[in-house]
Parts: sequence; C-alpha cells; structure tokens
Amino acid sequence: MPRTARDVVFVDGVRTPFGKSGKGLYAQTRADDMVVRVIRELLRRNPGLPPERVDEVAIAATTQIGDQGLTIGRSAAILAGLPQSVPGYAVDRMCAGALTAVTTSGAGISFGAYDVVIAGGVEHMGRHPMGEGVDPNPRFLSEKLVDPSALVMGNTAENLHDRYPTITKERADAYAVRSQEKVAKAYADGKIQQDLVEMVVRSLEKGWGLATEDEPPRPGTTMESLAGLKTPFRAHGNVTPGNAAGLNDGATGALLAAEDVAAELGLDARMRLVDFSFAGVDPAVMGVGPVPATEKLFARQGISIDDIGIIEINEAFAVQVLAFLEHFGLSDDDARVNPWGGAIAVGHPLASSGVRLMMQLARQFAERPDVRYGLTTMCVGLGMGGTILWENTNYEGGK
Amino acid sequence: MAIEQSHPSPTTTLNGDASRHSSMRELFGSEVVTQAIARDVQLPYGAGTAVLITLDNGHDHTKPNTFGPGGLLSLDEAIEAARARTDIVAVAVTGKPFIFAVGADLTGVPAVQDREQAHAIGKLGHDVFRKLGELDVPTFALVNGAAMGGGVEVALHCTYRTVSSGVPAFALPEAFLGLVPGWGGTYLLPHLIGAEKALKLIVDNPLAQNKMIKGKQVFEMGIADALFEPATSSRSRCAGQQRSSRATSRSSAPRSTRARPGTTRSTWPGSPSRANCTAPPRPRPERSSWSPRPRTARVTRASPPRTTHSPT
Repeated sequence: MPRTARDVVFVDGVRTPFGKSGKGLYAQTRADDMVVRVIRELLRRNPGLPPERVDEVAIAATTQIGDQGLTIGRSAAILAGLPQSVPGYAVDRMCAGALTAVTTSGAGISFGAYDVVIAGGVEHMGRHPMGEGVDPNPRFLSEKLVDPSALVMGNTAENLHDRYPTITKERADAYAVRSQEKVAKAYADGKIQQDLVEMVVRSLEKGWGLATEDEPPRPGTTMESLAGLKTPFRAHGNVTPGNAAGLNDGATGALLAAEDVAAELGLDARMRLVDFSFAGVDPAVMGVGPVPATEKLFARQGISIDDIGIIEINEAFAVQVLAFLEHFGLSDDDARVNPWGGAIAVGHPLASSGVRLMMQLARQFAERPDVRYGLTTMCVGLGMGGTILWENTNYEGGK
Repeated sequence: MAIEQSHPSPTTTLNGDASRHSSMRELFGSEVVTQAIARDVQLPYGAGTAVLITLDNGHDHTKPNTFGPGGLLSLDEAIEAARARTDIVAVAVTGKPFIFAVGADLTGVPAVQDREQAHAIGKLGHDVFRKLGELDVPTFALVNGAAMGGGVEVALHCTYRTVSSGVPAFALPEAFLGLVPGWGGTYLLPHLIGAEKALKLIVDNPLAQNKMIKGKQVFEMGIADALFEPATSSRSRCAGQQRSSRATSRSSAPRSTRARPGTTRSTWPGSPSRANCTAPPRPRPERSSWSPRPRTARVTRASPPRTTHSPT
C-alpha cells in the first residue's frame, strides 16, 4: 500500500518553571503532577483541539522510578483527564528524552499512524538524582568498553577540555556569563515567560505556593564570581558549577500535528520538522555528540551550517557548546546561538530540556521571518548527540 | 450578656485577651494545632502578590485540620500579618491535601467547666474568622478538600470561594450533633444563597443521616463562585482564573451587588413554609444597622481591586 510522508509541525510548547533540585521550589512536588500541569496547559491553550484527537502521549524521563515511573506518558494522560482512549508511553534517552519523544512521535505522524501527539519530558533530579538505582553491567569496565569517567557527566566535560585544549576555563566562564546575561535580558523582555505555565508547589513547612519563574538563573554573574568556584570533577580542572547546568526539576510538553490536521483544527503551525539525526560518540567525551549528529543531518539534507539561522543547543556544559561552535567555525558569541541564553542559566532537568529548546526556537522563528532553518541539538549521556532540523513556517525570504 | 459587656468585640486585634487565650489553650491541652502557614505567591499576568495561607496540622488526611484555640490564634496571626501589609492584592486560605478544614476541635470540649469558657471559644472563632471579611483586600477560600462546620464557616467569611469538583464532603453538620453553626454559618450562609437553600445545608442535611454535599453541588448551590477540576484546581485557584462562564459573571461583580439566587424578596412568597421559619433576608448594606456587630468594612468595600480577580 503506497503511502506519502506527511509534514509534521510544532504547534505549541509549554513548560513548568525550572527549579533547583534539593531544597528548591519543587522539593515536595511530584514529577507526574508537573507533567499533568503541562498537558492540561497545552490543551487549554489550544481549544481547537478536541482531547480525543490526541493519538499519543510520549513523555520522557531518565530515571523511570516512582513518580517518574509507571509508564509516565500513560499515567500522566489519565491524571490529566485525557479521554481513556488516548494512549501514552514512556521514553528514555537521558538528556535527549523529550527530543526523542518528539522525533519518535513526530515520525509516527509523518508515517501516518498519528494525527496529533503530545511529546514532552520531565526530570525531578531532586527526587531522582542522576544514576538512582542504576546497575551498570560490570563488562563495561572489565572489557574496557567505556572509560570509567564516562558515567560521570562532569568528568566527560573535563575530558572534552582535554580533547579541545584551546577551550580554556576562561572561555567556558565567559560563555556562561553570556548565557546568564542573555537569559536575564530575555526575561526582562518577557520572552521566556510566554511558554511558562505556573505550577502549584507544596511544602510542609511553607504551605502551598506558586512557581511562576525559573529558579536557577543567577543574574549578575561575572567572570570574577565564576573564577573562584571549585572544580569538583578534577583538581585544578575547568568545569565548575558556574559553567555547567545545575541539577534541576522541571517538565516540558509540546503539541505536534500533521500539517494538514493542524490546518483542519485551526492549530498554529509554528515550525516544520524537516529531519532529525542521532549519532554515537566515545562516551568519555559525550559532549561532542551534537557534532556528528548535526554533520550526519547536514550531509543527508545537503546543507551546511551557513543555512542555519538560529541554533538552540543545550548547555549541559559550556565546553560542550564551545566544542560544537569550534567544529563549525562559529565564534563563541555567535548571535545565532541560544539568543535567549541556555541551560547554564535556566537549568537542565535532563529529559525535559529538548522541548524547551523547541519552544524557544519556535518563538524566535515567529520574530524572524527572514530565517528559514533552525536547529535544536543536544549532547546525551553514554556518548550520543541528537539534532533536529526545523523550518520556519513564517519564512518570507522565498516569496 | 455580662460576658459580652466585659469583653467588647475587638475590631482589629485580639490584644488584651492573652490570659483568656492561654487558659483556653490549657483547656485544649491535647489540641493538634492546625497551623496557618502564610506564603507569598506572585499572581500570573502581573496581578500582584497574594498571601496564601495553608491550613495544615502536620498530619496526613486521616487526621483532618480542626480549629481549637491554638489553630484559631495561628490563623489570627497569619491574617494580622497580612493586614499589616500594603503590598498585597489578595489573601487566600486553603487546606492541606484532601482536607480544607473540618471545624472545631471537639477534643477539649468535655473539659469545659463553665459558660465563660465555652463562650470564650465561640467568641475567639468569631473574632478571628470575621477578619477574613474585613480586610482591605479581597479574600479567597480555595476549598480543595473536605470542609465541615468551622471549615465551611472560614470559607463563608471570605469574599470569594472556589471549590474543587473533587471535594467529597462539604457540610454544616452541627445540627446532627445538637449544635448550631455558630461561627457565622447561620448568618452568612442565608445571606449568601438565600434562607431556603441555607436551611437545606444547616438543618435538612444534618437531620437526614448527616448528609453531605460534594464540590459540584457547592458550586451549583451558589456557595462557591467557581468550580475547578482537581487536576487544575490548585493552580487555577491561585491564578484566580475563571473558566466557567457562570463563575465569571458571578465573581466579576462586586460582592455587595452580586446576585444571590433566592435572596430577592420576590422569590419569597413562593416558599412560604421556609420563609416562615426564618427572618427575611435583607440586602447587605442594611446589615450594619441591625447587626449586633457592624461589619462596615465588608459593606463599604464595594469593589475589590479589579486586577486581582478579573477573568482571563
């Protein structure tokens, strides 16, 4: 039976404000409640979408235990009050969980199996610290399949500094300061708030509260304030809490649809999913993952970095972004890269971050009809990278 | 009356009653105190800062929030702290998960020795709860869980009420226990929804195997201004967003002019049996002339700041 691939569009994206793990905003808030909040907000913002038209709910979490377990896509769909007929599943590709939820369910739309999906991610790193309950196969070490440092992300970032000796701690700190500045400016301009959904939080000590803004940003961060920070992963190393994303809690969600279905339901088609690519690298330098993932995608599409107008790259570590920039010959402060700052400032709740990149890219596309293509890309633990190529539906250059 | 005269109703604080309060606390020595925990919340859409008071006795839902002297004084402290501020646009009261509040703490009641002790407990409830209706900013009861007796009365004293459709029980069960809803229920509820419906809640239901109503009925009877599903209720309550069109029209009107089904005189002849057993309802502004304790603050606050609860 012949079939035609359908165009897939990004309709909308929302997220909870991100919190600091530990004693932060969400210390006593459940991860699944955060996903529910996001799903309901997506439906509220898109009244043209009858809930029963959602064909799948794909939600990512890295640590699928407790409130992030129980097939979180399905359990969150039920808790959110979606009709029982709407199925859901859980996704895991560590940091690229939500990104993978989008590519997988989006590919399902293109294939013709779905019309509309909700894809997102959640990570409550306070309730579920990185590596909770993991049991790595001893063969990893006995057969030297991976370097022992590969399982500690901070160590992989130090390794990346070794691999790119020109990327100094000063450059990483300077990048981090700019990320903080850009987020502060985007906040002041009301950009980031557009896609935040306020989240009720509870604390036994403080009672109910309302999270309305990201907790991690540190406006006013300077080179001087970063210079004195410790390098916890290596004595006299380069990676500090200041030039890396923190440990955070948060949830994101996106609405994707076939382009014709979006038109039928009157949904926004903010950007078009053109292609995506994942690639593996040496787990000991996982931060370099976006480079081969992006190159693979460029080769398939016959385009180059010059065709890309906006790049939303996840900032797990400054060094990992700088390695990407260096590879593609971009300057450290290239205006196309993370125009509204990145995870070093707003935080990186692992599996949720991919969709944050998309919602910001979609908003920037709307402001930039001169830009045709944009990337969302991120590095992934155990040595991977993932990149999605998006086309601006507001692009006017070709007309 | 002697007690009344020796202790005129305080209009602002409970100062001067310290010794009485400490003796009440002794009487209720085993009280599991429901703390009123206040926290600032930034309202969405730049609506300003609200004080959100959470009632929580530190136990799970199997030991519901109750009000003894300690709990009342804790609530008083939270309200007073809010009253002292000029940078807030609203005060809201809500409960702990699954429980709003289920009324007076009856554990100390057997220890009551004389009329003055009993009166002091009743009066303390009046003195504290009424402040929710007399602040300069609108007050909201966010009824998130079971509410009975004094819990319902806390909500009635507020300017507005929202209720979760997941609320399993909402009742004034006093008559079932041989009491009356004495912390404002008998007065405020008829004025809010009309005598006929109030009697159902205050008399009929308690005498019918202590029947309780659910969140949806709380809204349908006009007791709550807005109804929210449990999955959004807590967020939406805080956001002050109104999703129901009925809620929108009702709550966007100033309290003093808000339509109260069943309270207009024209409806009274239609329910003679009920009408005969209670005093006719009066428009609120007249209350100050016959109420034993003029509640001018509530009457004159005709129009709360619009920004805090305008429907979005």
